[in-house]
Amino acid sequence: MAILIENMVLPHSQLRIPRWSAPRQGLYGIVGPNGSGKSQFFSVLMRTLKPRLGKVSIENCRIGCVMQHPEHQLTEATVRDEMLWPFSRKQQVDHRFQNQLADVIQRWDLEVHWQQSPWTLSTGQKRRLILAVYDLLNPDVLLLDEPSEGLDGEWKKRLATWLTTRAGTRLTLITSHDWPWLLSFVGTGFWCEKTLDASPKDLGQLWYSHQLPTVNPLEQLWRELLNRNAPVSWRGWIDAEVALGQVVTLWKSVQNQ
Amino acid sequence: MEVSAKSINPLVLLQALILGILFIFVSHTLWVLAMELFLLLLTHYVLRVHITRGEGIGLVVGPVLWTALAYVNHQHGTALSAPQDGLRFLAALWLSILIIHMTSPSMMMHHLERRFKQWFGRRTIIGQVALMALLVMRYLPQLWITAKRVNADVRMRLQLVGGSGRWKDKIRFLTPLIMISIMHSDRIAEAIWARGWRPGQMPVVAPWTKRDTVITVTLWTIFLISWKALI
Repeated sequence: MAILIENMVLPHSQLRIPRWSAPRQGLYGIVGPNGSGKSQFFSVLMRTLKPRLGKVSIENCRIGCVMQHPEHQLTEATVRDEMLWPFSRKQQVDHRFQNQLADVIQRWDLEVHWQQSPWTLSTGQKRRLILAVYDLLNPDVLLLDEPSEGLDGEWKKRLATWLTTRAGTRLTLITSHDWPWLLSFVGTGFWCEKTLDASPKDLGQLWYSHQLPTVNPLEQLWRELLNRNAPVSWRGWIDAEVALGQVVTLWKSVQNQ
Repeated sequence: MEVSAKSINPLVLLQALILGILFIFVSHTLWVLAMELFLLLLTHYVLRVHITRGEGIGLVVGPVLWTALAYVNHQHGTALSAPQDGLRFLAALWLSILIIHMTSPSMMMHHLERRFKQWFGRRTIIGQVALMALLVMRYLPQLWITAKRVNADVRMRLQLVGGSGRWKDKIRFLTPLIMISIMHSDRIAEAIWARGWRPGQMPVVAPWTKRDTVITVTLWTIFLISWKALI
């Protein structure tokens, strides 16, 4: 598997990609502000966008994508048909396939919706359905565009767990503005603003070094602590308990001085 | 909307707008153009129309650009004809602004809808026109993007199972297009509905007065005579 993009400039966003080579496997964030070209970058990998400037080479690579709008991926009348249409009848009766299918249905809790129209599902349920489709199809490279949108806390946790367990067998690229969720399980990422980074950096460092607007008071406090060189971790703020532990330690060390 | 011209029927003003623009664009004689501009100035001050800052800038920048384009394109033979073209554009723009200050385009649409409904019955004329405009300007380009995305997904799924696809896969993109269309049309209908429009109702508008008839007849008479005599 090899993906290489060279000297590319994307239309609209004007994102420049001097050279980007896909890592072989692992979980990576593609992060940056709105309109910076993250989804367009995915379109290049899916070969739906072919910019006039630059070269893209994708070899021996099976790519799957869960798009930002799950409606763009629903073509069938029932959840069952949506899951099974790409597979031939011969594949569908295979025992191994049936076991895999049962696992996937259970993992994404789709049994109750099995005969339901995908269009009657909520946004979160639609997204789970498309995630289940690509779980069954098992691509080498999985692109996830804002996958946490519409999912409740429990499903966000389950999605993170599933992605972590598959990190050793495939390359997963995730774009998301949901920093606490992304930081909770993704180690590194590529910053995407005007230019796409050629090599991944620590995601916590990316969060801190790019002063993004914050609405979470804990996140604001953490920025303030880091700005004052306090010995706290970049990701401490995403978990209230961890944050509390680090602040208490910090407070005790100040007391001792 | 200015108070002084409030009672003139919007349909009269619509006719004045169409005839006026037509007249301005076909008047190639310099003194006719000068007279048009004088009449516009007079109307402006008599009706005490207060144009906005943006409109004022548009009235200056628009004709200047028009003049520059006319000069660059060399369509007119002489350098003087380019400023004359610019002045014609200024007159058309000025007339449009004056009329829009006298009545709103939505009032014109209401009156027009009522007239059409009187002739053709209570059918959804304005709704149809609005939907056609939306279809061409917003909807079809959006559908094209959606179809491309759906096809990308279909292609990826087929590649992942190593299948070549069946005839049905070529038209698979239609399902989301139809479903998204229904959802969008729902929103469009809701937006039009929320603005008070009802398909089966006659819009309530101010009645046509004798003065409107007199103005319309005068307008057409002036237009036809001057067309015959000057153009």
